[in-house]
Amino acid sequence: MAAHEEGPIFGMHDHEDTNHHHTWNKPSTIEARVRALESLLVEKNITTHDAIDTLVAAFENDLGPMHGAKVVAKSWVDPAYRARLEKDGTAAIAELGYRGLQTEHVKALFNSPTDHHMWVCTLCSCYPWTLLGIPPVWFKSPAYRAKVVSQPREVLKDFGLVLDPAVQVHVWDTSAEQRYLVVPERPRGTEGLSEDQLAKLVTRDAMIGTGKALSPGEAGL
Amino acid sequence: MSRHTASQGPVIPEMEGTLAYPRRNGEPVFDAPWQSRAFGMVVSLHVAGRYPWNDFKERLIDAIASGSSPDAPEDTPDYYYHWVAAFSRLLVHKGILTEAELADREREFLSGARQQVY
Repeated sequence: MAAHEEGPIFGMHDHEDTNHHHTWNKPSTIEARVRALESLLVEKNITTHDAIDTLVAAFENDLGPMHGAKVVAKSWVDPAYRARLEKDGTAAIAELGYRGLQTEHVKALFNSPTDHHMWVCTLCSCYPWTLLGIPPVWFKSPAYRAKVVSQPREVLKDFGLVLDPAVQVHVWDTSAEQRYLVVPERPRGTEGLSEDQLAKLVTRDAMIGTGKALSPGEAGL
Repeated sequence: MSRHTASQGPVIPEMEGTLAYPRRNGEPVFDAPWQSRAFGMVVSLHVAGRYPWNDFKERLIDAIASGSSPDAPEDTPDYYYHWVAAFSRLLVHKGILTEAELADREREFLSGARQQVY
């Protein structure tokens, strides 16, 4: 290898491997700037590549709505908490440390064998990010927004949820001031599960009202 | 537990109007890897408590208000170009980086003297 042949500055150990880094594409100015930023920040221990990876993955893949799920699971096992959640959703959610960023004025809607709740934002894109992560693709589709009000049962059928005709369906329209969180019914056969395990049964759709909580089998428990 | 905590925290910044990042049906859209890296850096430092979200947001507002970015090719949305400019200014303002070291490092990547970020 010639002394001045281009080689990577990092990874000095495997210079024998001549197949390494043979092709180098000149980055654009903005690419170089972003690489400079990342390499400097990591060097200075301000952040790590992992931390950035994790964040990007969270945003790109719509991470599970863990916060909302914990609220639901707690309400399943703790009747006093459930009562507080019913009375003042915002305060009960804040008890678990989740506040701000669009969780103001959250009303919890409790599904039961006789009543099914679901919510939508017909006007814009109000969504309790902190509790549920990134809105699902369909949530903002005009089709969902329009149809859920006029034909909620049809929409639920599209989601694979067929309700007994006797069950009353309630559709709530969320707004900038008012957010909702559906508390699905606790599935049968979950008596022995811990709160953390129960939270795994609570899907995002269940908390929007377009699905039910998973059975332990469906959740792989 | 620990290593994924950050991603589950209340990290999604509220950005409306001209500040809204490009999304498709609510999900952020990145047209190139550098955009998602830039996005991840800004949010991760905020989550780590390096600055309040508004410190970044104000600089992004200024960057967008100052017109199209000189680095962005024509007909390319320049939102993330502004994002990077705002982030760079914030880091310098906070004393985390200096403009000189950032410019030096950028030149190293441009010339190929430095190729690996990792």
